[in-house]
Amino acid sequence: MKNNKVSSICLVSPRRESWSTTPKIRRVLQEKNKFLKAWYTPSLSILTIAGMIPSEVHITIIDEDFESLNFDQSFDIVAISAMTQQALRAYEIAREFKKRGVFVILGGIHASVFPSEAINHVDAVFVGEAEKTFPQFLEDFQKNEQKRIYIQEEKIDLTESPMPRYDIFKRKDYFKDSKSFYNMIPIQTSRGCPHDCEFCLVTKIYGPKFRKKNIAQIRAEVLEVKKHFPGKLIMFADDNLFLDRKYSKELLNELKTLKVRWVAQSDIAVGSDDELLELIYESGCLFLLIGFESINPENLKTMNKSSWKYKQLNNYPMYIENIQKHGIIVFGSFIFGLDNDDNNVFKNVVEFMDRNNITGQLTIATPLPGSRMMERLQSEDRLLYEFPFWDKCSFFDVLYKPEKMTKSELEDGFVWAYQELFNESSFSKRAKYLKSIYKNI
Amino acid sequence: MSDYMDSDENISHTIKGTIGKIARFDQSEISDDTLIRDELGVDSLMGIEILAKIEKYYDISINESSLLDVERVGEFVSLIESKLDKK
Repeated sequence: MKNNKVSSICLVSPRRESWSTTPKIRRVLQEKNKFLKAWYTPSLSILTIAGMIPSEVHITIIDEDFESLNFDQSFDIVAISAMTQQALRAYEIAREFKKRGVFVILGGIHASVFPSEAINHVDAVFVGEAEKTFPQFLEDFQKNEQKRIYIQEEKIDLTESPMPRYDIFKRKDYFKDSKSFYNMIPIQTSRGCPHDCEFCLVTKIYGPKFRKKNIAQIRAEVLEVKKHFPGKLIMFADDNLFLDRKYSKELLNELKTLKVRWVAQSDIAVGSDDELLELIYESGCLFLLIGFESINPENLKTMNKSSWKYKQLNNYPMYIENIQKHGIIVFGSFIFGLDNDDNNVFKNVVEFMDRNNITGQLTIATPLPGSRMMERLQSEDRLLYEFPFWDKCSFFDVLYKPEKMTKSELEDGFVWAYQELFNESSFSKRAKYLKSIYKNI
Repeated sequence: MSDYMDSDENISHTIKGTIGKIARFDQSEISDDTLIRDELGVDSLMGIEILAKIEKYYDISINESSLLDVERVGEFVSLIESKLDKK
């Protein structure tokens, strides 16, 4: 059997709608962009895959949010990583390259939960983490013995995960407006989350057990990011950077020596640990994105099996204040359209954010394929669109019939909340409050 | 008081030192032409701490969104100088 040669691989992150596919929502969010914190980061999956490709192979990376693909360019393999929102575009890209005889593979969250759908569009599908299966595929491909599906059953040891190829972007000039693609560069220190929220896929994909890289690995990654992206914020892509407090403190002490600014996701419980908060500030944290999700107790009670978020609800104001007092901005994340949300939810969340002087992001409850939420809504016959509506899984579109309001009320209330929170006067109020804290640090 | 805040005579030195400390850059890496957002990574949120330190040091008040409206460090220095002139 003839062997395959691999001399060029194109890694693709398919384009997606950055805000919403619903015109009235998209219009307002784009208008208010000056006061919104939009996150533009390269795909860490793509950079990590690049780290597994032998040095003699030429790598091209295309982020379709910023660059166009040339389907007539010659590659031995096109590898696509896609979240659900990108899946339909990923299939279009695959079709074009396959027409030209290119071998196309697909991984990422969507292919991991729907491999039977993905395999209809590409030559090989990757399910789960790819640190072991991708090198195996390359070996198989060269012998022309590649499989149709590569499944990673056991969770991988993250200390064996390769250094993402941050260096690969050096061909681009990040300091000219037309090409200033990214404002944050992702680093992942751990995977796994024990909370298993109904709407989320993290526990399903990465498992409940917390797995982490070692501190030396992270130090090396931070230095690499600093070298290739001076002045860019580091975004720790972990779902919760502080699940293992001992490890977190060790990491933060290391970060203190590296002179970087960074942001991360956390749960609200960090607000109870003064020593940790001091370290978080001193090591360069700009803000913590905290998934409050809702301030309605009934929503929080059923969000995950242990009702963990519900049990924290009464602590929200006290912990927020303590985090802010330490010089750390609280970037709250709230979901609208959960089953106990009625028309009051918009006013309640806006007042909560205003009272506690927090900024953040508001999203619309989104049933992702593979989640328990999607299964439940399907069984309740509440989905508004036929499968596959993956391009609408933007977190800014209404995809199912809300329980206590109409679709239009949810859309209008969502737009109103954004307008109330992200304007000159609310930014100024929050900034004045934070300035009064910074003056005393 | 920090090293970069020891010279009342040199506003530019103080401001660049403040920005450098908060954005984690050596002051020597910052010039009037340095792009605040693209080269130093200072966004509206990081800017709040910078404004707070400068307001406190000079005992002035600066509009919260002023850092969103300038591109280069030199423009920001001029903005603060004009505030101090009016004081």
